[in-house]
Amino acid sequence: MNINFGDRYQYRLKRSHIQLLQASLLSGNMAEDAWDKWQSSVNLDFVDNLSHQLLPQLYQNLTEQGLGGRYLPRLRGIYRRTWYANQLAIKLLKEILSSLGEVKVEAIIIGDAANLDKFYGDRCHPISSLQLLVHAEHFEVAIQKLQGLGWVIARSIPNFNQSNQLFIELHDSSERSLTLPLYIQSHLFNHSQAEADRDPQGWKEAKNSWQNGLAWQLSPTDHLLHECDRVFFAKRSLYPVKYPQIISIAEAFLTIRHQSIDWKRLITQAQCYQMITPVRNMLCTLQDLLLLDLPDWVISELSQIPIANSEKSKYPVLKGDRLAFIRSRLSPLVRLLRSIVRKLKISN
Amino acid sequence: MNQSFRVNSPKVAAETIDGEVVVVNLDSGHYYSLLSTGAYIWNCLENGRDLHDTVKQVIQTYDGKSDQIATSVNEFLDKLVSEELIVAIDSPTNDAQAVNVISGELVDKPRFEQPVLEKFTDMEDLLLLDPIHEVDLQSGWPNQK
Repeated sequence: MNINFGDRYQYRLKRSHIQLLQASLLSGNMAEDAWDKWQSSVNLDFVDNLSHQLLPQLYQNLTEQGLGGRYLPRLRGIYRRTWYANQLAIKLLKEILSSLGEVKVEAIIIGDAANLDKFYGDRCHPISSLQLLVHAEHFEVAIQKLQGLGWVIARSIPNFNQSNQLFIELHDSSERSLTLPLYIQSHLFNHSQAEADRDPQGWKEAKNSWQNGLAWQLSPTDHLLHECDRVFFAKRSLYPVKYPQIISIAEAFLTIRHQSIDWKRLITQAQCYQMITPVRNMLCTLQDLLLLDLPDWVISELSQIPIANSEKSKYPVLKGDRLAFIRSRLSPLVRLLRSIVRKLKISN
Repeated sequence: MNQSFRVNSPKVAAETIDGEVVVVNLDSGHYYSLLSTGAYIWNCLENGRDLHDTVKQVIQTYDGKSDQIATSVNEFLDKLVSEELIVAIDSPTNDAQAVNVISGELVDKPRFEQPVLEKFTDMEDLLLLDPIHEVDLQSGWPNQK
């Protein structure tokens, strides 16, 4: 699969992905131009997985914009099927949350199903997994309860930072028509040493949504931060999402457009959790390719913040950002040299 | 006493897609498609119209014999109830009060068609409604048209 990640160090969107994002999110002539170019350059039968995730959103925008085309009836079918599957996924999620509630486990809904009950605005994005953030002290109780319901542990991600971060993937052993993996984690950014050293991210600003106070949703600002991480985190084998998702770029776009973002907090959190690069990447992408209006000072402030070496090796930079690219490539070398110097000093 | 109905949520979810009402019974996983007059009647119910209002609204909107339309609407609502997509509730209004409908006759009314409740019990059937791939009907996927 061509995921167009460039390499681990540089991120550049494919032209067809840019056109698809523009056709799915923009309005007027810009949406129409992008739609014309995209439908004339792709074969819907062989569209890649990343693009396929965005097709319901594309259908939604095309109908809002009054645009047609040869693919419209099939896009309608894809939209309908996604809507149907999402209803079953949401029902399953509500059952899980209800069961966790029986053992007094609170959870924040993150990932594909985060937009439960259109919390961040109206959109139809496919739910391909369920992901819940629970307090570390409730983790074991939650897993035991889920195992009692027929969920089996598929994998427990090795402790990336040798810290207290807990992460487990479960699969449903019952003969349900809808089978989705379920991820339970104690930290929002399960690869982040910075988060491990602090309180788990997300809970302080989360909004209580329903289920007698046991189900929560991230604040729009934290949701945006999480989407930045989902798109740009390079070591994807340690993460539920194995490839960068253009759907998360769309999610970030719609969240900013329809919700109030606390930009100061976003920058502070990005700094605290060493996520300046993914946030800057996301905002530059949204501004340059999707013409999203952002406060003038946000990107310039992010550009001035020094980036930790650990962050440089974790997130790719945008293609064309040469200085950031050179820094990220030199970062492992600098670390190696420092460690050699340290060892030499000790031996002397 | 006039009869009112409500969508059987949270057990049932519905959405209108390009004029078609799609309904899913989340307990059974069964999926339903309502087109044309069926979709129109569903929208009347979603807007809180009772039986009397709904019949009157359909008569005003569509061209057909009033008694036949009333019978068809009643039969259709019975089907929706039997599939547990809507539930009957007692209405506080009576026939004399139920006049909250769009006034005036439509000039060019579309012809009344019997409302149909299409039911799909398998996800695969759903795919056949709008094939995601344009396949050759003889040789099948992955041979394109």
